[in-house]
Amino acid sequence: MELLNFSRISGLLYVTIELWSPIENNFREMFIMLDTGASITTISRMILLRLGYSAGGKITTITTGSGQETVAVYSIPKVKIGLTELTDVEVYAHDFPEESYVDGVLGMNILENFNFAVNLDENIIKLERRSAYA
Amino acid sequence: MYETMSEIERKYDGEWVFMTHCQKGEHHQIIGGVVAAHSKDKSLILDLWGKGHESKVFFRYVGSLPEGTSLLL
Repeated sequence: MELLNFSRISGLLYVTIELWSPIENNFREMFIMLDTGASITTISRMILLRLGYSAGGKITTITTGSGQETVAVYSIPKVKIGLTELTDVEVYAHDFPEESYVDGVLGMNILENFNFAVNLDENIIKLERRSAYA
Repeated sequence: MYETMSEIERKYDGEWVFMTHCQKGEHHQIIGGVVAAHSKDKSLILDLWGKGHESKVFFRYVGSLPEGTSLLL
């Protein structure tokens, strides 16, 4: 079990995760919104480009609150949540409105690796790796 | 000059910040760093973040959403 601190901005929860950057051959921290309403973790195209990921792969259609959109699908070789390193994580590349001040949402494809509990008094998420996903 | 995240949030409210020499707390959050740039223009900050750096770097928006704004993502 480990603890992950989060920030609350306008009521929403943001955590810091680490994404593998092929350009740097190292991890880069990213501030990302926790979203249990997102099936798949989604990151802005600008971020993925700067980390060294290029388009040209799989495309899929997503359904959002405002309709359907086509997005590129990437496989991120390594993603770190706290001390846990996940491999070959699927993410969608999708830009968020400027007015949202958001660059990505941490979705259930990553979160489902854990049992997690949010403590709003302490700004802490307790994460416990699920045995089926270890 | 190193500043804590709390200081940075107070000082640069409503702006995007790019930080270098970042430190992390025991629960994996960025707790402070050196603000190398700050701007209301995110693209400037993102360009800096995208370059190679020797120290740990980080960027984010500091501040709340504009009043009257709600998010549904």
